[in-house]
Amino acid sequence: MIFQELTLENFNSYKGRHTLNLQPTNSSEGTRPIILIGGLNGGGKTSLMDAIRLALYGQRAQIDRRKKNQSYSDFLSQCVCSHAPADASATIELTFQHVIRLSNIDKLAEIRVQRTWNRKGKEKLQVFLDGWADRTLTETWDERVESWLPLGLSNLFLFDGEQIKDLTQQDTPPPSVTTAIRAVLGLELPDRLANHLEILINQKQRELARGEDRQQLDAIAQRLTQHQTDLEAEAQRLKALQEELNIAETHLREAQLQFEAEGGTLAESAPELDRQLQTLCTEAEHQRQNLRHLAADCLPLAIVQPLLQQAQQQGHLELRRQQAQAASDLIAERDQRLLDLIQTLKLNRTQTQKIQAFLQQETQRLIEASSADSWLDADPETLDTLAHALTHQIPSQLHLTHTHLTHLTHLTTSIEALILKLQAAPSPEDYDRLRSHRDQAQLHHDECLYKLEQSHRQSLKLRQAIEATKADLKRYTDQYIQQQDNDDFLKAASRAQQTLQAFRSRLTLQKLNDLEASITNYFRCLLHKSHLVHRIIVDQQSFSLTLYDTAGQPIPKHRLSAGEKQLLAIAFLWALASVSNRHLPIAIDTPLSRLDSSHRRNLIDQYFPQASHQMILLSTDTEIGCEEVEGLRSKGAIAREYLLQYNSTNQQTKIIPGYFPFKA
Amino acid sequence: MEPPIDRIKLSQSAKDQLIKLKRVTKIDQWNILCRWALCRSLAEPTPPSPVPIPGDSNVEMTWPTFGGEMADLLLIALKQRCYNDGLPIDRETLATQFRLHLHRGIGYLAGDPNIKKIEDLVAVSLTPPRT
Repeated sequence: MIFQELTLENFNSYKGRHTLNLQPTNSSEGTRPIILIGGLNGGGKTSLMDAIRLALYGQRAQIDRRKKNQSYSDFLSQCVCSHAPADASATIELTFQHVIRLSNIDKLAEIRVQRTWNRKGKEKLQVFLDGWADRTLTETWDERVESWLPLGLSNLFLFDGEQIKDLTQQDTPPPSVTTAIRAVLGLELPDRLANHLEILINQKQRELARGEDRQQLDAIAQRLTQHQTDLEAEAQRLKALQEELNIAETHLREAQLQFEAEGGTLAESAPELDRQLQTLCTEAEHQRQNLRHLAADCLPLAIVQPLLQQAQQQGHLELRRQQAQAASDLIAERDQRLLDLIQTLKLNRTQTQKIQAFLQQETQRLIEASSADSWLDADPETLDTLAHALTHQIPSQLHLTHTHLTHLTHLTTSIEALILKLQAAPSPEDYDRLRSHRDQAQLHHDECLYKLEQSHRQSLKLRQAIEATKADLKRYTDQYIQQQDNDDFLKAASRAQQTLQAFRSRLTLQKLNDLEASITNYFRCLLHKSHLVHRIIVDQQSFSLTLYDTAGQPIPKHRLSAGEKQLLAIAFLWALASVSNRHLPIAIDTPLSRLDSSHRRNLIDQYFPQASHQMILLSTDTEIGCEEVEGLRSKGAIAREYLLQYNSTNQQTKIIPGYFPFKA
Repeated sequence: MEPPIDRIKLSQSAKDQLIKLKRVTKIDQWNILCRWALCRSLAEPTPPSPVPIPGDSNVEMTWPTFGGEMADLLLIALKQRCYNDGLPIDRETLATQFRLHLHRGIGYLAGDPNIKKIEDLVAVSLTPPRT
């Protein structure tokens, strides 16, 4: 970084616009780093220093003249030149060159930072990049400056020579310096990293602290596992049940078959059959009763029908004979009367004889007929009864009997069949056994079916539960993953912290070694008693310096003179600046106060030309006087010279080129 | 018609046989069974052997009791049978023949292995034994 130009407008005692060219120049012998600015006390030197700080850091700038607890806007309004018009605004503009990285290309850019404010203290910041207002730079200015020239380091590069003795007067350096030293040594980076890491860890831990989700997730996962285990068990149970059911079915079928084979079915219908049998038997008995009635009637006569028929003929015969006998007298009388009649008729003889013969023949026949044996001796009523029996009673009764018998035969057949069936039926005990056997099988089968159904339902329920749980799980999976990430992060973070710790201590050690060497080197370079100090040790924690003489004995601080202490401080700063590896300009206010001429010479000879590529010196005429200026000039180290001329009557400062006009 | 016999007294063996028939046919009246027995014997072509038949049982009935409404017809059949057998038709012969036929018929019916039930008995009337 090289400061190129500082412009002040209405800032403190600088009324109007003043521009300082701060650019070092090149000569044939090398660069001329020193910008020498002379000014008497109260001439505006410190204002220049403040202007640079203010331009770079604005509100954060560490400015001695700013009172504690004074608000920034109040401070700013105070800084406006008191002689300027009431509505005038103050401006500070600092232009510098710096290598910046744009679109992955390192380039040397010219940056101009401009702060403008009025008496109301309202500040406006504008940053120009290569002459163009750059919004991004403006908005991120603080961060940019911090990366180029950290605020902590600013005290090491922009400092007041009178105040740096504080560095060594106390046993431990002030905190601001300690911070700066840390920054220089690069310790700030691991510290910042550690800080950020801490913040991140806290964040993640807070996230983790919302562990309810995590617990819920775990619970869900557990539930899912439980469900799956249950389902598996249920599936096995289902399988077992299915097998059991199959066995039960086989048993039932066997029992049913056995039941049927041993007449269980018949036995089941036995009461019905019995009832049928009863009915049939009753019917048969009824028929038999009918038959008995018939048997009691004239049915037996059917057996002797032939006898009866013969008897009927005989009966008729005998009846006729009786009638003939009874009528024979009458017939004889009639015959006689007929013969008498014929004689009266006086028929011829032959005819009369013929009639007589006929009549005799008839009578003879009648006599013969009646002379036959009459053994039946049946009266007409009996014969009528007989005729009636033969023609009506017997045939009708036979017919009836036939009908009844046929019917009875059918009945008997049926009864026999029924009895046969009933006989085939097992005994009640057997039947009970069979039935209970079958019923048990049936019961077992039904039970198995029920269990199976239950198991099916259970499985279904479990499946649904699993689906639901899976959905839940899916919902929580993202969170889970996040949390796992967090877990991993936390583990890694703690490792990183350890690593950082180790890195930091090693870095500190190494840097401190460099620093110690540099301080020793520069201090001995600046000191005319070069044998006084052999070695300087920097404390690892407090960065306090301990000096050792050639014998290895520590040198108490109070034994050093004020001048030696200032030199030690300068050496310390120099060493820090060189160790920090930052090529930054150095601005020193009143650099040589309290030093004797020998030390001044050392400083002028060794330090100013070599400490940096740009060295801005703000000096009074007693510090860098005629002799010193001549020395520097002769070395060709001075690039530009300015003189701050303060006019006490109008209380304004003017900047003019050239240093104090010393009398030759 | 004049009955050939006033009181009928059965032999003991006939009584036993009748008891069996009563059991088989469940006809509990002696006279009905006796009518069947008479008819059965009368229908048999061979004449009964003239054997002495003791009236040594206590089963006894009058002719009207025996014949009932068909008493006359039974007598006619008996007379015809006697006539057919060439026997004189007098009261003595008729009485003897009646006893013979009655007891032979009882024996036939009781001895018939086919008669086990009432229907077997009445079946006899449907298929009278013929020569």
